[in-house]
Amino acid sequence: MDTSSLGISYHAILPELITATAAIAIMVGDAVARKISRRTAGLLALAGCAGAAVAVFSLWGETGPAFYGGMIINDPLRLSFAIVFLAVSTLTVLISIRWIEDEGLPAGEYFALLMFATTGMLLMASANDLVMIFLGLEITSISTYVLCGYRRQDIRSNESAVKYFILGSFSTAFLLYGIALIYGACYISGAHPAATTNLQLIRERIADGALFSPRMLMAGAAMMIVGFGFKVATAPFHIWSPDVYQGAPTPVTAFLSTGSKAAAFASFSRVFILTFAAASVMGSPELRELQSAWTGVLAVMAILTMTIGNLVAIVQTNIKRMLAYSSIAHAGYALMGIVARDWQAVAFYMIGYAVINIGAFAVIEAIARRGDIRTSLSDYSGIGFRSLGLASVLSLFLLSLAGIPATAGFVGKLLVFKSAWGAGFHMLVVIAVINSAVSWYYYLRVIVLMFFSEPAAEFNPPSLTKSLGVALVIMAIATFYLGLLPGRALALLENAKNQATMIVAK
Amino acid sequence: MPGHAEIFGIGILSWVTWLPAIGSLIILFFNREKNDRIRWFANVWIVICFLVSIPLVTGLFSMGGLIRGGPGYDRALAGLQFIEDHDWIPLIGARYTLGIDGLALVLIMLTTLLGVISVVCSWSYIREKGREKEYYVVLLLLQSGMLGAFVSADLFLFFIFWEVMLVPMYFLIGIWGGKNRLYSAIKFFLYTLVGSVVMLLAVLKLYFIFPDVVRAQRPQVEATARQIAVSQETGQVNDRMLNLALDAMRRVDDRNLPSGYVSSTFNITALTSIGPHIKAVFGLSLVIWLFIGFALSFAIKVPMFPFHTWLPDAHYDAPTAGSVILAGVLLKMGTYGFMRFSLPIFPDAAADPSVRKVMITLSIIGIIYGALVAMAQKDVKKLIAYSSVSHLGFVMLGLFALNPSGINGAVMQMINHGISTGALFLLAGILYERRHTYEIAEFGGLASVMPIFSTIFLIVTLSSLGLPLTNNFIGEFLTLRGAFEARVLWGVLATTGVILGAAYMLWLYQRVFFGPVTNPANEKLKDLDRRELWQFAPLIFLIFWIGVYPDPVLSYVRPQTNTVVGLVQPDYFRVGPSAERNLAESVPSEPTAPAHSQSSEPDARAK
Repeated sequence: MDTSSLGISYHAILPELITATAAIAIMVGDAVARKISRRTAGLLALAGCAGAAVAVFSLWGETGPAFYGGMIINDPLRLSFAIVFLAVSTLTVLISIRWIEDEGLPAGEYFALLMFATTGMLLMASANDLVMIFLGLEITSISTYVLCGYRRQDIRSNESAVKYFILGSFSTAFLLYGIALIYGACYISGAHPAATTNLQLIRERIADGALFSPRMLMAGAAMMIVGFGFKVATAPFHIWSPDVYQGAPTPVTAFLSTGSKAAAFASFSRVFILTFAAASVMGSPELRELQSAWTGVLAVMAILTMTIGNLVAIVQTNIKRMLAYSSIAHAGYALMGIVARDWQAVAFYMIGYAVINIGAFAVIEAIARRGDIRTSLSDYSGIGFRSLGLASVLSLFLLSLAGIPATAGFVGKLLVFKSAWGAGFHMLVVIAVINSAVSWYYYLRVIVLMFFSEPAAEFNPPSLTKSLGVALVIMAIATFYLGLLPGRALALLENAKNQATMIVAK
Repeated sequence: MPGHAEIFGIGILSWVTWLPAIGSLIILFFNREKNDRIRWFANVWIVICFLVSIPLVTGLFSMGGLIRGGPGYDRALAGLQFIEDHDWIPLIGARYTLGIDGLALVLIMLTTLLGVISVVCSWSYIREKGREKEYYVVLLLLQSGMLGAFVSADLFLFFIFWEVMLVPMYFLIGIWGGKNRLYSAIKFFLYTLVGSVVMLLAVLKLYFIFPDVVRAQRPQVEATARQIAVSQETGQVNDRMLNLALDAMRRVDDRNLPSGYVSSTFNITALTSIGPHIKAVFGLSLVIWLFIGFALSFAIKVPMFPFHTWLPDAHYDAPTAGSVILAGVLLKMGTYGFMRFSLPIFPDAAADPSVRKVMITLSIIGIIYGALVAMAQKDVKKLIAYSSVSHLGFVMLGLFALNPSGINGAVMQMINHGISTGALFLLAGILYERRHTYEIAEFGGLASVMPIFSTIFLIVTLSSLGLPLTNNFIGEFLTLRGAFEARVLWGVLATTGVILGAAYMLWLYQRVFFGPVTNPANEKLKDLDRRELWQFAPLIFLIFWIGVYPDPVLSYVRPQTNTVVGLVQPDYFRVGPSAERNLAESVPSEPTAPAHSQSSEPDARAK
C-alpha cells in the first residue's frame, strides 16, 4: 500500500504525542534521577498539558480527511472534548502535588500514569475507528486501575482497584464483542474492505442501507451501550462506581469521575450521534426504527441513572460516597444530551461538571488529610467558620452541582434540558427537573453541616499549598465564568456544530 | 420622554442592582477583626445604594461627560423605562435586558429603603451575635439579588436572580437565626426551590412555543405588543420597549441571523405579546398548564394558603433584618410575579372562571385563616408572621379581582405591607434585644416604661389594621372595592378579615402595653435610642403620606394596571353591551375608561 494515502500527519496527533512524551519523560526522569521530586514531576505533567492544549488550538478549524488510514480524525468533537480532558488533567495535577507529598507516595509513576491516562482519553476522542476507540479506552482504563490502588498500604484503595479492574475488564469485553458484531454487520461481499470498523465507512454503509444484517448491528450497538454505560457509570451498570470512588485516593476519584467519564461520553457521542444517528437520518425507515429503539433505551437509562443516583445519595454518610452517587446522577443528566443527539450540550456539561466536581474533591482532599481519615459527613459539622475559605468554595461547588443559576452547573443542565425538550423528550426533562430538585437536599445538607451546626470534633483548619490554592481559585472563577458568560464557549461549540453538520453532509 | 440616566457609561439600573454586590465584595477585603470599620462601611454603603436609586424618580442632572442624566420615570408612558439591552448568551437567546415599569419602580424604591433600614437595625443585634463581616456580605448580596429580580426585563435573567436570591437568605436564616434556624432555613429553601423548578419547566415551554405562536399569528401578536406599549391614559407609545419586542419577533423568521443566534427569545415584553394568542394556536389547556407552572412558584413565595407553612418558621427564626426583608420585599416577589408574568402572559388562564375561583377561594381562606391563627399566637413575632399570610391574601384577592381598582389596591397593599409589617418586625426585634424573648405573656404595661416605643408601636398597629388616614386603609379600601365589583360575596368574606385584623392587632397591643407592669424584668427597660428612633422616621412618614395622599404612588402603578386589565379583560374598557356580556361575574357599574383613570380620586376625597 502506498504510504502517502495513509495520511500520516504528526500535526494531527500532536496533542497525544505531547502528553505521551511528557509521561515518558517523567518515567525516564524518575529512573535516571533516582527519585524525581514531586514538584519536577508535577511541572513536567503541567507542561505536557499546556503543550497539548497549544497543539489542540493549533489544530482548531483544520478539519480534513481522516489520518492514518482512517484511524484518527480531527473534527470539532475531538477538539472540544480534548479541551475538557486537558482541563481535567491540569486541575488534577494541581490538586495532586501536595497530596502526593503528604502521603509519602512516589511522584514519578503517579504523574506518568496520569499523563498516560490523558493520552488514552485524547485518543478516544480523536478515534475514527472502533479499534482505535478500544485502544484509547484500554490505555485510559489500565492507567486508572493502577491509580485507584495507588495508596497500596490502604485496604480501601486496594479494594477499589481490584473491583474496578475486574468489572472494568468485564465491560471492556462487552465493548469488544459489540465492536465485533458491528464489524460483521457491515460486511458487504466484494467491497474493499469487505467488513470494516472504520466509523466513516460504517456510516456510509448504514446510510446506503447496504448492511449485512441490521439486527446484528442492533445487537452490536446494545453491547456497546453496555460497555460505554459501564465507563460512564449509568444505571444499571453503575454498581462499581461508589465503591471505587470511595476507596480510590481523592485526586484519583476526582479524575475518574470527570475525565474518564467525559472520555466515554466523547466516544459515546462519536459512535451513537455522529455515526449511527447521522446515518439513520438519511437511511431507510427500518433504520430509523432501530434508531428510535436505542434512543428509547438510552432515555430509560438516563431516567434510571439520575433517579437512582440522587435517591441513594440522600442516605449516604460519607462525603466521597455521596459525591460518587451524585456523579452517577450527573451522568444521567449528561446522557440526556446523547438522547437528544446534541454532543455540544454534553461537551459543555462535561466541562462545567469537571470544574465543579474536581473543585469539590479538591476541598474534600484538603479536609480529609493524610490517609483519607476525615471523609465522614459528620467531620464537616461546624467547620464553616473555622476554615471559611475552604467551606465557602465547597459551598459554591456544591450549589453549582445542584444547579444554582449563575454558575456552570446551571448552564450545563439548562443546555441538556433544552435540547432534550427540543428533541421532544418532554417527560424526560420533567423527570430530570424533579430529580435536580431532589438533589438539592443532599448538597444543601453539607452546607448546613458546615455553617449551621455546632462543631462536633476538634478541627484544625488545613493550610493550603500554592498549587491547591491556585487550582481552587481557577475553578471558582471558571464556575462563575461559565455560569455568567457562557457566550464565548457556547459560540465556539456552535461553530463546531455547523462544521460538524457540513462534514456529515459531505 | 422615558426615564434615562447613565453614570460612567453604565445605565443607572445596573448601578442600582450591582452596587450592593460590589459593596459585599469590598467587605471581603476588610480585616475580620476590625468590626467597627466593617459596620460603618456597610451602613454608609447601603445609604449610597439608596441615594443612587433616587434618580429613578427625580431624574438626574447631567454633570459633564461621565454622568449623563435624563428625566426620571415618566408616568405618562406605559411599560419599561431606563432600558438597557446587551448581548449575553446568544445561543439560547438570553439577553442582558433591564427595564422597569411603574410597579417595579415603587418596589425598587421600597427595597432600597428597607435595605437601609435592615442594615441600620442590625447595628447592635449583630454585634452581639458575631460574625459581622460575613453577615454584611450576605445581607448586601441579598439586596442585589432582590433588586435584580425587579429590574430584569429578560425572563432568563429574572430566573437567575430569582433563584440566586435564595442562597443569601438561606444563610441569613441558617447562621444568624433563632433557635430552630436549621429546620426553618432548609424548609424555606426547599419550598421555594420546588416552586422555581416547576417554573423553569414552564419557562422552557414558553420559550419553545414563542416562534410557533409568532409564525401562526404574527399580525395579532404585533398588535398586542403595540397595545402593551401604549399608555391607555395618555396614548403615548413607548418606542424603545416596543422595538425590542418587535426585534425579537423579527428574529423568528430571520434567515440572516449571525451564526450562534437563535430565533426564540426570553424578552418579557415579547413573551407577553404572544400571551393572548397561545390559546388560539395550542389550545386553552396548555395556557392553563403554563399558568400553573408559574403560579405555583409565585404562590409558594407569596405565600398563598396551602403553601404558607414555611413562612411562620422562616420569619420566626430569621434575624430581625432578615424578617424585615422577608416580609418587606421577598414576599412581594411572589405577588410581583403574578402581576408581571402570570396575569399578562396567561390572560386566558387568569380570566378562566374556574382558575379564578380557585385563586380567589385560596386568597380568602388565607385572609381569614391567617387572621384566626394570628389571634391564637402567644408570641409577638409569630403573630406578625401569620398576619402576613392574611395581608398577602388581600393582595392576591385584589389581583384576581381583575379590575383596575382591585389591582391598584393590591399593589398599594404590597407596598403598605412592606412598610407596616417591616416596621412591626423592627419593633419586635427591639423588644427581643431588650428581653431576649418574643413571648407575649412576658410583657405587659410597657406603655409606662417605654413611652416613645409604645407610641410608635401604636401608630404602626393602627396602620396595620387599616385605620383611615394610614396607608393600609387606602390599600384595603381599593382591594375590597375591587372585590365587591367582581362579586359581592368575595368582598363580604374578605371584609371579615379586616375585622379580625383589628381584633388581633389591638389585642396584641393591649397585652403588651396596657395594664400594670407585672413582670419585674420589664421595670427598667430602656426606651428607644436615637439610632432606633431614626430608623422608624421614614416608615412613619410613609404611613401617613400614603394614607393621606396616595396618588403619587398610584400614578406610577396605574399604567401598568391598565395594561394588565386590558390584556386579561379586553372588553373592560370598551363601552357597550359586549362588556356586560363578558363580565357576567362583575358588576358593570362603570365600564367606561374615563371613570377608571380617576379611580383613586374618590378615595382621596373621602377623607
